[in-house]
Amino acid sequence: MQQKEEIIFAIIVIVIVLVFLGILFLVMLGRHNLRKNFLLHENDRIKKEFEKTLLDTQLEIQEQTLNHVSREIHDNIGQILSLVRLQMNSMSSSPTEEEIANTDELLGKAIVDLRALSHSLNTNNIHENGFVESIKQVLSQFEKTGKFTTQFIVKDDDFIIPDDHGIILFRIVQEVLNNIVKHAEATTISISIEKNDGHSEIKIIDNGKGFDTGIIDRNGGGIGLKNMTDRAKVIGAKLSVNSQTQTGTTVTITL
Amino acid sequence: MTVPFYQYFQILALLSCLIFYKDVRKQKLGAFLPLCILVCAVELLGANAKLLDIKSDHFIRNLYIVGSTILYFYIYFKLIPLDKKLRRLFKIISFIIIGLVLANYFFFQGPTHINTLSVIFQQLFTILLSCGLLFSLSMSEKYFVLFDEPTFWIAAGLLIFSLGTIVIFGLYQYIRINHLTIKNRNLYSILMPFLNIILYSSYTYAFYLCSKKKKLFSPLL
Repeated sequence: MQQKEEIIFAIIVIVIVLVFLGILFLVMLGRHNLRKNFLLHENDRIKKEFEKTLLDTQLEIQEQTLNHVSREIHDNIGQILSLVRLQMNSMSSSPTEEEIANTDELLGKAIVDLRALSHSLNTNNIHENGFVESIKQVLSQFEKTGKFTTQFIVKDDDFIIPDDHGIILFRIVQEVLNNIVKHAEATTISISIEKNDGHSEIKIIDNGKGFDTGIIDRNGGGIGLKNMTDRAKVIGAKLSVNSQTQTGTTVTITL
Repeated sequence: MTVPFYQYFQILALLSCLIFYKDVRKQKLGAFLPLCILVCAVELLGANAKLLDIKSDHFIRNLYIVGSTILYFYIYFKLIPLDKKLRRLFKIISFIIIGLVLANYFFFQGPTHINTLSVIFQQLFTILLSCGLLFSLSMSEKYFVLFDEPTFWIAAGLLIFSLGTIVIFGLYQYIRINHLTIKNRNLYSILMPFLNIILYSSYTYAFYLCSKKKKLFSPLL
């Protein structure tokens, strides 16, 4: 009789254990589903954030381009055309060949500058020419001012970046270059793209007055630096600043 | 007429299937209507066999086993996303199992003895197919809440029911021969109502969830 009771008890326990295991399996599936939903949601959020940053960046590039165009027209082409007008007004009814040649040279310069402006107005520049070519163009513009000596080195032959990431990366580099112009008092700017430990690195080096990076550690840097760091994060990159007073600054973007 | 407590859950499942039938069909669960009708009819006849002067309800229950095996395979075939090769394999296995269940009914255990072998086979495949269905649900890349999916509740109910039933039916003869009873009730009639309550409650909830879905969405599609 007691043996029978034990058997009954064993059967009931087996059934309960199996049912419990089944329920445990279902709970685990539920947890997996929750985690997957959370990841999908996060993925969606990051995607939206990326799209927003991309749009912001495109708008900023556009705005900066327009500012550049406005400056160029006012300071450069406008000046040249005014000079041409002045020359033409001072010309007699039969101008000398030298006067015509001078005017022609000035007009030629205005045409070249207009062409360069037209290129920079094209917002699809990065899409069409790619990141590397766009950086080259920016550096050549710096060189043209006569205030900077520039250098561009590409050691990473496999460097390829998707278009939408390229725009954000370009904007970061542009921001760094703006900071050099505004604050660094530098005379040389060097940009290099190289491979380090399997990662592509973009280094922007200047020989300016530098600054105490302790400010970044203490205050987290200014809004500009925070923006650049956030943008780098969006494309999965890391931005670091290395600087010492009077020895220049190196900004490294690791992809 | 006797209506055991757990049968109310079966009737509830049938009623909810009828009420939400339009939505149930949209979720490819239409075959549950004949299944619920079959269950309710068999269980009512079985519970009132003496009243209806039926000597043994085994004949009716065996018919249910054959009918439900066919319906369950059909339901799983509709629900589990399979490619062309696997669909063919599923069909072949289904026909073999249905053939074995029919052979058992006609030749081996016969219609007058409860077809425990068929039940074990059926439950074994139900466990496998439920796990397969739950696995494909959880592997879906889409955003959805698992507990809001009717197919989850169907597969979950069937899985738990089968896990319990396979032990009871596996030991069915042993329980009978050794008169394993508690207060003069055999183990089968003590455990099965609980498992039935779990199964038919989950069916009822699944049918209700079908009505909550505005349009056909399946994480498996």
